[in-house]
Amino acid sequence: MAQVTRRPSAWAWVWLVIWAVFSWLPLVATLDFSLRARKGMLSLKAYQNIFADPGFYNSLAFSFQMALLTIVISIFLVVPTAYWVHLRLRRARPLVEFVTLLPFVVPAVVIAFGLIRWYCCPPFAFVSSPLLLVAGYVVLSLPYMYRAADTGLRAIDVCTLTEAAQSLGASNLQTFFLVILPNLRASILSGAFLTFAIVMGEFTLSSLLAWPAFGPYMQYVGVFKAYESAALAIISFALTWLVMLLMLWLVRGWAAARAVTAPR
Amino acid sequence: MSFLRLEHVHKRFGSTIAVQDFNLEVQMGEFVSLLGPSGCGKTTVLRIIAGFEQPTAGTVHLQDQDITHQPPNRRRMGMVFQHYALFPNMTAADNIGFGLRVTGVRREEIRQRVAALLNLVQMPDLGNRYPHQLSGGQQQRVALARALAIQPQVLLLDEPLSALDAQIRVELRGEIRRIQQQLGITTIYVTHDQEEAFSLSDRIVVMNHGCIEQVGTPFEIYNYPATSFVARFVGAVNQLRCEVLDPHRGQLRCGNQLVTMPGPLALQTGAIATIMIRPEALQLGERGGANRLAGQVCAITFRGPLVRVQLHLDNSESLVVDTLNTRQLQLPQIGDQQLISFAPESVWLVNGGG
Repeated sequence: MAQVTRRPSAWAWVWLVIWAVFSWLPLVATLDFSLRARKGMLSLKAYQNIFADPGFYNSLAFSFQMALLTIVISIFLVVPTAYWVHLRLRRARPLVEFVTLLPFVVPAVVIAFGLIRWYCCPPFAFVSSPLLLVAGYVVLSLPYMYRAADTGLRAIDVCTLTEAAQSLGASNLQTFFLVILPNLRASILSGAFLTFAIVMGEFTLSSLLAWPAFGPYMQYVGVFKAYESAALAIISFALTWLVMLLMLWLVRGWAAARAVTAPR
Repeated sequence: MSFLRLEHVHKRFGSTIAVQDFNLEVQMGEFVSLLGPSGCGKTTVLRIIAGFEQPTAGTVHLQDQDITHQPPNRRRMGMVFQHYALFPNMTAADNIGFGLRVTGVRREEIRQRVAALLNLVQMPDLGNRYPHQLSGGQQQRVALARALAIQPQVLLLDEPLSALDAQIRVELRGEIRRIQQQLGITTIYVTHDQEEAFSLSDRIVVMNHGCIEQVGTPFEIYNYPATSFVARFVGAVNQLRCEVLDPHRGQLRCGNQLVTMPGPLALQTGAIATIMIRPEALQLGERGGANRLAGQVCAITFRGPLVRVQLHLDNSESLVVDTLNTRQLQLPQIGDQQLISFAPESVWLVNGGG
């Protein structure tokens, strides 16, 4: 049967233009502003200033390290928990989902003060350790990482795959690492990307815990250097896209490696 | 000595009783099917054997060793699931070799055994395909090979053909039986399809409401059903309410017509009894045996190799006759009066006698 192709209506174009203006105009304006550091001409001066500032590299490297640590710890904590909930605690799923949404309800500033209050003095004097910041990030990224893992687990028949592996002699750990985890690769990657984006832009926790992260650096630059601040926003945006493309490339590469025309 | 033995197995899920006092002995190399309607507890029994469920009471013994509380990964029982349960991240060959890999078998040996199993399931060139690149039938073949790779003590199959279309189902059914006989592997097969159970099994366990209704060979189950449930569940059956006329001579009255049983009845004169008879045991005309019943033809259904004729008897009961379809077959018209005949030996009484 021939496919009927419908022409998009005029309204569709109107909404598309509104969406494009809403999404891209601020970005284009910021880009334009970032290029006007020299009076009367377009230049990359603001970008040169940013790239010449050691603070940029230091804060970027720090946040990058924190993001990687947060991702690793989040995966380590959240994915087995989500798996266990799917496998053995199905009734507790709504409760666990509610708990994972709490970081949306509790403001970051409350979490920061809570962490400082609880971990400021012995026997839990960790306030000067960057691991406390990572712990805070793990909490902040919990809804995203859990959702991502949960979506991946819903897409596979967790119980049957686990039972199949066990019937073949696999231990719980072998089942998790050889069967479940590889099938969650795409979900975990998307959760990792979201976590990365949150950590790279996070300001409240890192600022209140006094760490030289990328978020406070952007805020600092924004207060004193208008053009450099705009350039930093564009760099940050590009960085985020770069990571997203990297993730897409990884997922597609993995899918392409499996793609052969199926016989029917 | 039995190879696999289940003794007084009970299983409850909350207030629901899934399995009740289940006792079964399976011999080495035997193919036993658990047959019953949905929710009768057959899959629960299979899962108890596999170790995925713990019985509320009772024991499971394998080669006289109590394995009731042994975890599933130590039982060496290969299981084939209804929806294949192949690992999506692995190729067919990796799926088959998985059980060997996790138990530390050398890579070269895994490669050889996987190749042999791919040959066994007639997929020698498809080892590098991922599950999503295989058809349903091919996926189930891989699942079967994967379960066989660990050289299981018992092979468990949970409705493995129900997700496949009819033609593939028949084809794969033959394959399963061929492989089972070739390897001599003890097999427990769960199905709700009586034809599947009949064509595959050495013995069949018919279950209903968590209990065993009957255990027997396919021949026994079909021809000598122990209960009315078994009679109705395995194939079509006519049920007629009759009044006992002469218990010593095995005579009953169905409406105004006489039916003779093969022997004396353990019932009193005037008692109401239900008799059963398979549609294929009835013959149109007078040549089927000593018993005769007359009725009016109310429906004729063409079923390929068989033609089903439905009649209303004079006591408003109806019965169906299955007659072999041939080109020379002379069928009555709807509304015709039709005589049917059958042998006393083909009739049995529900709950005693006959």
